[in-house]
Amino acid sequence: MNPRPEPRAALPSRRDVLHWMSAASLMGAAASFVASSLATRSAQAAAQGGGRKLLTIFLRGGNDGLNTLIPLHDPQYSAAGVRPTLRIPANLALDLGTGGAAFHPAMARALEVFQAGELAAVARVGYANSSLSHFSSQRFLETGLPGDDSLDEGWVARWARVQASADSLAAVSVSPQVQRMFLGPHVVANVPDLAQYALSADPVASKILGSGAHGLASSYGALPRVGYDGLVRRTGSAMRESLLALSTLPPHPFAPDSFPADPAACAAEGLPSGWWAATFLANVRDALQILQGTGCTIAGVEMPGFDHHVGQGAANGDHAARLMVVAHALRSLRREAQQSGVWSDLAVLVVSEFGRTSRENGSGGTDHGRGGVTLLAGGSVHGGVHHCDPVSWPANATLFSDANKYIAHRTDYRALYAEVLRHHLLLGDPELDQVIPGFTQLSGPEFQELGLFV
Amino acid sequence: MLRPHRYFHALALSAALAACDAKSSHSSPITDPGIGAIPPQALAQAGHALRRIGFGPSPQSLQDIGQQGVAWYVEQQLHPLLIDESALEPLATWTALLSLPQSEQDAALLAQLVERQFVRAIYSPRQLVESMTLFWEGHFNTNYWTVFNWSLNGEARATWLETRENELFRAKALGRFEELLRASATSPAMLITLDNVVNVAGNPNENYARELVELFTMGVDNGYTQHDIEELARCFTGWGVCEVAPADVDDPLAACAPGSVGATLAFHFDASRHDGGPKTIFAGTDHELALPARSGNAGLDDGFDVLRHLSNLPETAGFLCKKLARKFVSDTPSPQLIQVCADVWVATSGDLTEVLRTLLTSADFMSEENTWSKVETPFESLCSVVRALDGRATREIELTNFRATLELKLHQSLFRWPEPDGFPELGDEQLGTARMLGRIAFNQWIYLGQGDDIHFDVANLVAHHGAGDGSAANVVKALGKLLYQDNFAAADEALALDFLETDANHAPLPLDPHAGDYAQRLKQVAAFIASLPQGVEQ
Repeated sequence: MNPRPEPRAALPSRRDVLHWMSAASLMGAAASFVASSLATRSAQAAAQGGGRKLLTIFLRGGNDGLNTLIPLHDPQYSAAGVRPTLRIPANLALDLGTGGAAFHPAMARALEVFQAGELAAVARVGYANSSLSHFSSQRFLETGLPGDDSLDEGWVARWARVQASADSLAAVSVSPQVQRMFLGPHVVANVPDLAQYALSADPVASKILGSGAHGLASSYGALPRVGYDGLVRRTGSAMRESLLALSTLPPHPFAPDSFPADPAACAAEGLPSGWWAATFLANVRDALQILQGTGCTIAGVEMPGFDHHVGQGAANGDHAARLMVVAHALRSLRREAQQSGVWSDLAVLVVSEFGRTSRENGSGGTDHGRGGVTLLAGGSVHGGVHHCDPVSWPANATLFSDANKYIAHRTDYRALYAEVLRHHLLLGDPELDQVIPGFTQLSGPEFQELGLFV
Repeated sequence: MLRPHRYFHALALSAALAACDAKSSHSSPITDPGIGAIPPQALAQAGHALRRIGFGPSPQSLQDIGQQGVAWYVEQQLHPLLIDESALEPLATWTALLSLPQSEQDAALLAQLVERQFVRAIYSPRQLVESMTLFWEGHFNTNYWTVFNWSLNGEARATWLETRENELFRAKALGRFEELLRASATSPAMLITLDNVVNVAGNPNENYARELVELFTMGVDNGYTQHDIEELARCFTGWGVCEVAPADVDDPLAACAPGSVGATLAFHFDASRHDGGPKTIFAGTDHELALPARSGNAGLDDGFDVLRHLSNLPETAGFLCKKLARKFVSDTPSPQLIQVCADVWVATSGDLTEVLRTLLTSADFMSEENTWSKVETPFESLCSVVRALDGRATREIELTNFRATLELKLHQSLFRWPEPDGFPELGDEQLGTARMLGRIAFNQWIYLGQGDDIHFDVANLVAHHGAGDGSAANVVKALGKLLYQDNFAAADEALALDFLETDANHAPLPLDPHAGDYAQRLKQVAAFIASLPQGVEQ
């Protein structure tokens, strides 16, 4: 996997830009009709979930938890031969004043969220017998069922199904590829880029989409044929409905420095100037706009590039750059959501498929590991640090506590999901057991609630 | 060197390319009923075979296979060198820039590489080769941006290296698996993407070793351990890249010549970085591989021995057969089919022509339950619309709309998938509302984009395939057959007629073949029919 910044994937020419700029969102009577019914539905959804919102941020590739939330109290972290080039010196680390833990220096922008008591950092998150494969481990985090390669449905898609929500915007994957969390027989919207979520505006477009017994609207509602046909038709319906609803979304009201939209604007904010950073921040912006402006309850974004086998860097470098962008996003989310009055209803969950080896490898990087770090931010979050203090993180006995290479997990990731579902999205236990299969039957210290919400 | 200008070649191409595999169906006399004369079952079978083996049916290919049968087509496709590709010669001229030496390339050519793949998929009569080329691109995925960011002059090199991989995968598409694995393992793009460039004795980097067994050969958790990965990583220590003289690109033992005239980034073995000790992989199993201590350049053979060993393991045969069966037969292939395929793999040492013959001549391939059971990739879906409606690349042959739609609206960027697992294979992983929308956005160009990129002459097309009278009913029937053959139900026909013969307020608007808007209305209804749900399926 690519540990270095990636410029934007597409190569639009001037002609493309003209085409896409002229591609205004859909208009017409059909749009306003669906929008009004959708507004009703959004109001219903808001009543059910109490208006609570969740944004998931998936750091793909395996984020190095040890250099994200640094155990300053453990001398082994700084011991000779452990992390000769990757170690963050104590004088650069951002001590969180909790008796051990510090943020990576690139995460300074998240300090204002932490100091407000609205950011929780949980060390040593994982699951039993965790897989060292990116693809298996990502799957387990996204389905909510570790060790089972056969379960395809994502936990967010299952949440939407359990809610029996007919709103295709109840959950939205704001990513080019639908994240597995959002995949399932209950189709929810996938909006990689709000500005591109449109057809070329002409009367024929409305006629193709149709309504009632006409056009694709009729076809999407027809009985499925073979194979994937049922899923295709449900996806079509969700597409049509989400397209019409999003076409009435007002322009975003955000401050220009919150989500800089291109490399130059990122650089002006002191952020990395790759397209990957601007694209990620645009996804976060779109996700917040959708969460604020529609009945959407769960939105998800992702950032690739955390597989730092080579040239990871310490206080500076690629890992630092990515952490800085994540921290910037957390700060902007808080500022903007406070501005629009939704911060107390918003939770932001930052996860990754695994942590990395505690020992640095021979190429200035780290290899796939086990226990990692999860972050949770929000206006109703009870901030603080978990399992990174001298009592719960024994010095000289934690860095290599699993197979003499990895950090053993202390908290199962499903316990964190469950806490969000129960206390933030107000899910009852029978529903929770469906969303996180059999969760209430699990017991042991790794499934304990941490008190993440006030 | 004076660089030929791409537009010069494009404009010189006065003869348009047609989406026919031999000759244009437009040359048929008006009395020829075209695909209308093919019996329904033969038409359906031809359509299925063309959708699965390649990038969908064109009118001419439906007629060819409708007459000669699927078995004939499969056998023809398995012998690509016997298929005349001379109609594609203008393409070779057009893409001449991609043949420039590495030192003279530039970043803009990535667009050209993508466009060349489009043109080949749509217009090449060697459809199976093009399918398999993309299969290997996905299986041995490398990311353009990784090379771009890794290297000085990354822009130039990344396109050159991706082009070279693309050409190797095409040349070896139906060859032996070991050759493909070896081509991938020694490709600088792969050596850089999965970090073999920093794999050194004493501090091995296990990134390539892990994906070699997990993604490229055996499949995840299928007969190997973490210790095996560490031993495998030792075998590839010393593998890397360096700049060599252009004549030395295929010699990993040639002297590095950084900064020399025409210096080219190529596979290089550095014996001083190789771990020469003995190695045992899969120790104690029935597929144990013991390698002796090797000193100096002999150490290069460790890696090659590993690649040969892995290529012929039953685990590899099973993993690759399942993946191929998913591509060609069903997302949920039967265990029996996978076993028969794997047996052929082992018996022929991974001869892909034989392996593919086994799959494509199996009863499962043509069975009722496996027809219309898969989802087209975004790339396939754009190509199949152009083929079905006999779209022609005209004028510039600069497929900007294609590329922009694929990348910005359908979110598939060839040669730039960021993770080593390649673009998703299964239907439910590919489907999403954004891609549903993107496909319709592309179909809009059938009626919006006359003279731009691809030209569609729908009126002429349907006239040659059963709608010579220009009546709305026959127009809709002809388009249904061209796009979907047997999978165009009465309900689809009724919806399409409703679309064609009513206005925006659903008031009647009869179609008049002699009116000035006739051709444009036909393009609009073609865009509608192409946007039906089955337009995403195969």
